[in-house]
Amino acid sequence: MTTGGPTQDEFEKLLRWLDHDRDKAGERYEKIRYRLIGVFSSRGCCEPDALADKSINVVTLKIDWLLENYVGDPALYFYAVAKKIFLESIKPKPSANVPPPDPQPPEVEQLASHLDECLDELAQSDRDLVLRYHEFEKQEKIRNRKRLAEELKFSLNALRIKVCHIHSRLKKCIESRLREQPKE
Amino acid sequence: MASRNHDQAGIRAYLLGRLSDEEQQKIEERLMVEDDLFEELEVSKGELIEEFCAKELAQSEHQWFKQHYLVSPEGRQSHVFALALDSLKSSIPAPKRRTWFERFQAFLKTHPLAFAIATSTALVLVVVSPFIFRSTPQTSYAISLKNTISNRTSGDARFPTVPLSPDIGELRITLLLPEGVMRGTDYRVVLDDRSETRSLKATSHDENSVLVVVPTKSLHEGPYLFNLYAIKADGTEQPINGEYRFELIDSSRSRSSPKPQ
Repeated sequence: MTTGGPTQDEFEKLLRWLDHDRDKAGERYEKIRYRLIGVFSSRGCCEPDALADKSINVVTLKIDWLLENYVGDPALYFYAVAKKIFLESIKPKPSANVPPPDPQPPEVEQLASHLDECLDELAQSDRDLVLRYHEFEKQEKIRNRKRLAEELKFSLNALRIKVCHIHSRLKKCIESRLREQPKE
Repeated sequence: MASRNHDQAGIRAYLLGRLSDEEQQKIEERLMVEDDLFEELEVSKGELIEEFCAKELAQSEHQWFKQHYLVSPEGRQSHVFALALDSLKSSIPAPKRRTWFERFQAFLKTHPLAFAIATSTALVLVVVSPFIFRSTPQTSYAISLKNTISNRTSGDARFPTVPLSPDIGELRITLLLPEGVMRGTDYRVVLDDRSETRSLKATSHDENSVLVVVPTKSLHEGPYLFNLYAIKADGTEQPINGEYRFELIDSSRSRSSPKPQ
């Protein structure tokens, strides 16, 4: 960026704008960045992290104006900027030729072996839950999940969320194993 | 709850490209500030990937999802994760629900002191119990139930009635297997009283039937049905089509006299 990125002072002001408590401001910053990445990913961006950081930089550069004039939830201002940046990013290449995902990516086998190990690291009840949750297909899968929710005395929605959290833990575990693995 | 379901539908529509620009903007603004909705996004992404891998999405949805979320690094990673999970599903049999006795055994294995205390307590109980408890003989009530598939030709919508009385301690219910259905190496039975379901292990089985024993103290008056699952040698389950229905009737009110064993 020829105009240069935000200064440390601007960044400090941005954090104060998000929250006067520095720790809370840091959390808020991370949360906004994570959500921007989520939105960009949902829209099919290939570089959601870079676009999120670019959006944050644009907002940070406007911090003095924002402090004086903006009223409302800062997250919504970040979103408004992010949306413009997204539209700019697709202008030169409206149908970016990004190859679709490989139906059988080569890394699946390696990942499955890490997943197997990571499943073993879960509490027995969580491991059983995630394996039972993924049993069956189509209608029987739906019935199975209802049964499982009733058996565990959860609402179906609470069960979906619980399994999603277990998936997140498994993904983190796999990522850390992949990082630990010596590179060829 | 209704709003949660509404959000779930909205998020699916968002991820599958079925929203107008205005609706998309509204939902994205909410995603920035509502924790529950963002959580729903995370859950729905996982579910849609699962449906994508299982080819359960409509053709147009499949294409949209492939060309949007799945081209993002997060989407690609989640896709590989779902495939890895799928490949494990076939190699690891899903765990059976452990009985209380199995859970108790596991607990004792990890808590030897508790084992010692439990053993001593059991010994004391064996010695003392004849002096404490008076035996109250209770009978079993046996009944055979046909699968609703086998019953279909009769046109009779009434289900067998079973008495509920304090004298009957347990129901010994034989579920007759319809012809032509897959036989399992074992069976799991799910009892449904229309308000909740519970999973039971078959007590025994042979080529043509499955026996399940249900203590009556856990039952109440009303209609019940059983769903039956054949457990294959590799540990996976296959549901047996049809159901087994019966109705429990308070014997003090029922005139149709049953035959206790």
